[in-house]
Amino acid sequence: MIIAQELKKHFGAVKAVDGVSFEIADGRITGLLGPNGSGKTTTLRMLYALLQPDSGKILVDGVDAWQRPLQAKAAMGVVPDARGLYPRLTAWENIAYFGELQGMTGAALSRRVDELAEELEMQDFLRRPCEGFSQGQRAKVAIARAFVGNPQNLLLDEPGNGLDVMSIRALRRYLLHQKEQGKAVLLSTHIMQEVTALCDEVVVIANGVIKAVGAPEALMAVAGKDNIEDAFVDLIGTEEGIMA
Amino acid sequence: MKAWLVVLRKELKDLFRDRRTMVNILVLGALLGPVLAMGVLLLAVKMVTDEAQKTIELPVQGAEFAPQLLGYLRSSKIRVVAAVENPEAAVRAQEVDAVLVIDEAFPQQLREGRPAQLTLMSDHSRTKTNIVKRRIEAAINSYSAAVGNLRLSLRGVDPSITQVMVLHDRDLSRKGSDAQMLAFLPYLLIIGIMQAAMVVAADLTAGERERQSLEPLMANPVAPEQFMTGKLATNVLISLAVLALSLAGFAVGTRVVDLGATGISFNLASIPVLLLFLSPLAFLFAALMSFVGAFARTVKEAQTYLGLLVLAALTPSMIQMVLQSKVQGLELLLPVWSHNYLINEVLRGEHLGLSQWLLPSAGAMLAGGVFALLAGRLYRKPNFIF
Repeated sequence: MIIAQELKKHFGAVKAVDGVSFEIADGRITGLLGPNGSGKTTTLRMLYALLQPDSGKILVDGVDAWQRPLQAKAAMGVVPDARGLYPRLTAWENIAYFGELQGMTGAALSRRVDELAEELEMQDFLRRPCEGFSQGQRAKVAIARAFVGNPQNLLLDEPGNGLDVMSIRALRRYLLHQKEQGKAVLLSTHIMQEVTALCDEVVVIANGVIKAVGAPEALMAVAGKDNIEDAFVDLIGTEEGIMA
Repeated sequence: MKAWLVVLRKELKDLFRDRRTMVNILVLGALLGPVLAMGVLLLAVKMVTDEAQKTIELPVQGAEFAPQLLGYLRSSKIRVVAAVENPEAAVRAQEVDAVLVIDEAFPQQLREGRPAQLTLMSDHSRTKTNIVKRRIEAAINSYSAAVGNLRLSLRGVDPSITQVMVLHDRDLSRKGSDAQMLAFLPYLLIIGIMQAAMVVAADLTAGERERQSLEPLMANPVAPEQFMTGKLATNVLISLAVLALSLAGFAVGTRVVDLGATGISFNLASIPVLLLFLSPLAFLFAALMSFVGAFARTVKEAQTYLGLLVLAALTPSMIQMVLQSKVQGLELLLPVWSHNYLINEVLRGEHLGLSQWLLPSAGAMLAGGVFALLAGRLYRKPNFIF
């Protein structure tokens, strides 16, 4: 479980995140929904302790993320927007590298990598160097290495970007399975289908502030619309940035 | 396993699979130095021996005025050839190495026992002609001395009376110290280490940013300094490997290539000494390159910055190559400057004293430590990660 309290981050005059509070509960998939430039990525970077908030607090399973970053990071698996792999290493080696950095070794690590490869359907290219991988294959490796330590909290920044239908379906199955196992999942996205297909709760963010929080159906009811896209436009008060 | 060791192992594996980078490091760093050095040496040695042994062709103006002298020159492997039309122009155009001009008054001066006038024209700025010039001078001087001695003997004077003093020349240099010709070797060794450090640093920091793999990497529960340490250790190891290869290259080179009478030898025992002695310098270069390389967003950009840095850091070596001055006292604390001088001392077969071991190493470690610390702090900056 991750709790964000009154997060603020300003870059000069730009209030990228301006007092954001929400909760990512265990056993649920929470969507962070907002147009481009709304503060999603900045919020995520503060959550996974790479960016210091100007003010506010983040608790990851009760641990203050900025006071004790190593402990907090150990409880999170992160798939950032930047998903660079090491092209000369194989998929297996890319995943194992992150596992070793998290203190996993030997047979336990091998078992875990093979398990992830099966869950994410990546046996075909597991032993190939990542050079020349398709977007979908790259995304799968990025997800597998982020979650190799089997963390309680999973954070994904726009994971559906550039993926084909098959890859998106594999990703959804994986995230739903994680949710069933009681994991806390945060999904930052601007794709409406992802929200309706996956999220139990949605945090709508625009211009660095939270516009609404609730289940997709509840948001539609509040906005008086019969689909999430219209509800979203109505809630953020503009059509800017949704055409992605 | 410590996180930095995990990083080190991964980076080594990654680098060894990158053929372009490895070729860059090995060819430019390790092989170019020895090949270049051997080539230059071989050429120099060949020139010296050629010019010392071959028969010199010497055009003489006014050959008819000094037939005995020219006969003597012939016995010193100097062949007199026909006069040239415009001697000054011929020397300047390098058509001939030197021209001897015998004055019209020469026979009369000789007869009257006055100093007889001769002029030798040559271009002093050319190394090759200098050897020719010295041989002609020596021959003429020895003829002059022989005639002078005869004159004294005829007058009943012992010729040795003119020899007021005899200066004996004793060479105290150790074996192998003709390595004076190897003055540029430290320069090549240092450039080799820097080249390796540069290529590795560019790939390890800027490469990570360019591939967009830094943000996910830093999201791991590992202190940023551990990543920096692992990458730095990779760089130091590769630099030292390049140094070992290039020293081995020199050792093989000086044995395979016939360096003739120059006496240049490369003692195998100096390889471990130089490796140990230059390790702190490799650390300094790796730290400096990691720090500067961290400001670049792409590998190309990093290579531009670091290339300039290599030039700047080589300046002390270039100055040393010309000055060949002794470095002592607190000057020993200056990295590169002191290393350059002491590499030469090791090559000359001298043993390094305690302060010569400690001060340069301390200087390099201290400067390297500062840059490593600065680099480590950069790894915590959001501007660096994103």
